[in-house]
Amino acid sequence: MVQLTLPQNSRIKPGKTWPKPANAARLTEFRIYRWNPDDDANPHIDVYFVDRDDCGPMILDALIWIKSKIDSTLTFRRSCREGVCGSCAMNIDGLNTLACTRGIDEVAAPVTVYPLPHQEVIKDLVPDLTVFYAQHASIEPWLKTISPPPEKEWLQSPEERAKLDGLYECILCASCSTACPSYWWTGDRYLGPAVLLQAYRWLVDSRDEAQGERLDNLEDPFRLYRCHTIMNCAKTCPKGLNPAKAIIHIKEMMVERRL
Amino acid sequence: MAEHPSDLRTPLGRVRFLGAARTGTTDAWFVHVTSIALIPLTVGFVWLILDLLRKDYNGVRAELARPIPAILLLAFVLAGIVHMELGMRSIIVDYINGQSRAWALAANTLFAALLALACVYATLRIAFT
Repeated sequence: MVQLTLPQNSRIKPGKTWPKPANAARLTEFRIYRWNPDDDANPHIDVYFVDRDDCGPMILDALIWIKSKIDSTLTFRRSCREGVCGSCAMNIDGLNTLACTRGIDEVAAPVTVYPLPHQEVIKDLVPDLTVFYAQHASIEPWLKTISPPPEKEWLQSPEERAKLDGLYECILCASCSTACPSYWWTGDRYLGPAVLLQAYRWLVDSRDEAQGERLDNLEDPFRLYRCHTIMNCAKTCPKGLNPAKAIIHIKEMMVERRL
Repeated sequence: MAEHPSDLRTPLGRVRFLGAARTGTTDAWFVHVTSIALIPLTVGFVWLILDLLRKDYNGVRAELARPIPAILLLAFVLAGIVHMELGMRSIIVDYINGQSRAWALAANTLFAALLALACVYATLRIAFT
């Protein structure tokens, strides 16, 4: 049966409250999930106070400030700091989003920061996305053709290219997949919203010649049909995309090729 | 996550697993078809029941012996049971893992089939005796 409670060793306990920085006029409280694989302790919530006059405006700025000024052991992923790479996806104030594009003032204090839900945690705010990346690889996210390659490039009309809008922008941050209850329960076999959106991005690409083969590989009670249009994916996507809509279009294509 | 516990397989090997079952579309199609069919059928069913409430025993039997009410009742019951079986199957696949999933799916199908047979038998018996 599905697990509705956390195992004993995953239950979150209160952690350390770090001292407030001296001479700070404007403080914001952060409650951050901590877990270290090198000790046997349960995960815990550490409390930090960020000096807003010494820190940038985004949640990622605050995390970097904490790591630089208070606690160098705080572990998280980040790279581009402008919403392009997807590295800093985490659960902020109950919503999966990018720490670099979410402002501190957009969230009610105290700011709670957890790793993406329902994934194995490597350390602190770093989830293990190995399966997620393997799922993405499984849909073969590249142009597949049988016709001999043209002399210059595969042609595509502006209208055909427009069909990729709302799809190509996905940065694979995994916010949507880890917000999806179906992915929580059956994430080992259900591909999840991010990967299915990517699958549709190639299904609808007019240059691709492997539509049927791609649909064959998706037609499965688990891989595709665990989506129940719950819409958490669309609500949480930090890029404003709608994976649920893409999944509906895949289901329509499944029916279309039978009628 | 560990329904197939072979941890030494590559992540891609675990994700690809046994391949796509190439099923699911027919079920999804029938969920939609029965949903749409149940809208007018439910209205007809409620109308029929309200009509039957005003009749005595012999009146009810006479009404259900007429073709349109009997067919309406059969269509409502069968569409409803198909819809129920598909919905319950989806819930089982969502929430039950491992070997118990197969047992639950079999029980769900058998229960729906028996229910359908009982309803059809009862309706036909009233209609034809």
